[in-house]
Amino acid sequence: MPDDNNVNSIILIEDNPVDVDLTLRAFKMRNLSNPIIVLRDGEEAIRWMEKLKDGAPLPVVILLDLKLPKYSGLEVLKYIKSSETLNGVPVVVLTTSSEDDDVKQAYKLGVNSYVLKPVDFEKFIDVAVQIELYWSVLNKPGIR
Amino acid sequence: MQYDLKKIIDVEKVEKLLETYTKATGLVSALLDLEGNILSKSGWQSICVNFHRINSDTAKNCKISDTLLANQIREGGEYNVYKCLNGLIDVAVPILVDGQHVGNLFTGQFFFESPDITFFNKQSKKYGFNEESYLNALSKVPVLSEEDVKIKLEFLSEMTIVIAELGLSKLHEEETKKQLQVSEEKYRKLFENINEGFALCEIITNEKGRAYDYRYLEVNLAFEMITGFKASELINRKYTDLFFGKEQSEWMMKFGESLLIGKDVSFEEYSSDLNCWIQVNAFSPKKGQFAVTLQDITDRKEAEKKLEESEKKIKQLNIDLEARIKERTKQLEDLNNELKSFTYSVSHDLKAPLRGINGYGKLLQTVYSSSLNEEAQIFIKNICQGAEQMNELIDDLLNYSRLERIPINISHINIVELINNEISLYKDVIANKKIIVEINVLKSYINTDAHSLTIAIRNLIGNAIKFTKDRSNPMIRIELNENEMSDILSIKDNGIGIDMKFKNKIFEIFQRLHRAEDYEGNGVGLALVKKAMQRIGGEVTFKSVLGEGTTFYMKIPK
Repeated sequence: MPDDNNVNSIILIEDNPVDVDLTLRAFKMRNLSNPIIVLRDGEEAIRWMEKLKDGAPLPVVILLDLKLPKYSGLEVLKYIKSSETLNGVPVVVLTTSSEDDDVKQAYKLGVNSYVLKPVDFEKFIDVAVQIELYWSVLNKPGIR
Repeated sequence: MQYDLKKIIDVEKVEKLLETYTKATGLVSALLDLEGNILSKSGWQSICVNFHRINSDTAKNCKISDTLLANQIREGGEYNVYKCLNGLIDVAVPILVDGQHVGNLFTGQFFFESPDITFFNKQSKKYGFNEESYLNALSKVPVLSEEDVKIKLEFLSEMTIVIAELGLSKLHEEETKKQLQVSEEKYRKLFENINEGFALCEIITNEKGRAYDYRYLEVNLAFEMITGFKASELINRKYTDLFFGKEQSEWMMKFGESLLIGKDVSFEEYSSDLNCWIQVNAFSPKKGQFAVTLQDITDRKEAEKKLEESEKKIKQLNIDLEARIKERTKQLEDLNNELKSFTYSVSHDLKAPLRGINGYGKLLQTVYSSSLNEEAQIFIKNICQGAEQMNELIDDLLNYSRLERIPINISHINIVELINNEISLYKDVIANKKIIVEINVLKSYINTDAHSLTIAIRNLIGNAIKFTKDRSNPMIRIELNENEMSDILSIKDNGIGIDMKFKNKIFEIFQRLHRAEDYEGNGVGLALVKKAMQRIGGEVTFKSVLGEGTTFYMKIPK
């Protein structure tokens, strides 16, 4: 549930428990201290965002897997981009293939970036670095 | 045509004319053709007939005189007088018919002045004539004025010409008649023998002058065959008496008016009377009549019908084929989509557990390395390596299947940039192993499918590095050349080389020439290159010397 603990939070919308765990560990290894909210399918993600109160702190970045149960990542993306509250939040798509049609589709829908999910765990940590950079560039110092 | 005087004049008639003429004028005459044949003669003098032309010497004189005179005429003389060697006068005129010299008319055996008796006395003695009878004959030779002779001869000559011209025109007439007969015969034969039925008909009009029926005047054999009536059954019979078919009884109503005013008529139709298709051409050769040709065109019509039917059939087959192609295309599209979502699932779902294996392996290595013995650490390393290889294999297989599915997209691509990008993927190993990379590119831009070419170049550069990096002085040379048809990109290395006995195997998928511990690889790379080059209509070939190096050539069609 959204509350004040969600300040500077990172939203991870991902159904695969292994990917969730590895992502969390990679962030932890980089000492990323932002609260991470994990949503496990498209429906849960949309429901969570619907409950986000006006004026409540917005997440700094949304990491979105494209292949999700119930509502697909693209459907979630459409929701985010059509939401007045959330459409300013950067969305980074997580995908296994850069040549996926869904990635092109996601760009059309206004996604900010995409990250290839690497098999190599060390590269996973690199991804965490990229996201951290992303976050720090988009958020001016002093906001935390 | 050279006229023969004998043939154009009636010799008997002319002979009579000359006799009467001789009686009336006392002049002798003779008509000769150009060969000197005497066609007719009359009133010849005794002195000539009984003396001069009898004695061989005087007869020779006669002949010489005749010839000289004839030559004179041949040279164009219209009126020719000659004193013969025997002392008498001869006159000759040419007979011209239709401007042509056909013969000569002679008169003569007379004197213009009283004869010199002394000359003839001498002659009598010289040739041994009986003097009394010779001089008697001489006394009968008339003495005429030249003027008189001229007029009389002119009359005779004109008369002869009139007769000859009459004869000539008769001859002409006969010839024309003969020719006419021949041509009539010819046309009759044609008329009888042509395959088309032919009939000459007379149009029957009603009291208002409108055509309503017709009568057969003449028909040929083919007409009899087509109609099934004999000529004797058709001639002078009315059309409506013979035929009852609706179609044909109508056509007189339709076309009678045109024929009456002399307009041609032509049409094709099915005749139920004749039970066949006919082609009719009619024209009016004479007011109130028409000639009609009739041709049985049933065979042609049937052939046309068959053709039409087969065309229709082909059209239908085409439509069916198109429908089937459409259906098949749809099936293929469905299959393609299915394959697409399948490969998507493969890439997504097959890789997810690999991330788990590799991720936790790496975590074990980093977080718990101190509590694991050496062997356990090797095991974990192998697990991670396996997962990484598996990941690469999945990527290659996805690329391979994508090459089959994704449509090619030809564009203007910067080949220099592309090569540099691909080389930069290997920049660490190039630096570590001190590999010299030379690039010699003739031009910067080529037209091809960027995706296909990228895959081909990436794999060939990868191979070149893989098999060269542990050699001494490793070197890779990339060149772009061209010929009329293609751009040719070659990648040359001084690596371990390929045994040419495997040259047909190396492009097969999953085909490897090395053990995994010697050179890593999954056997997909060169299969990918081959497929990528095929896609752009090009090809990949190579030359290699084992132990010395290999050059791959990518032929890229322009």
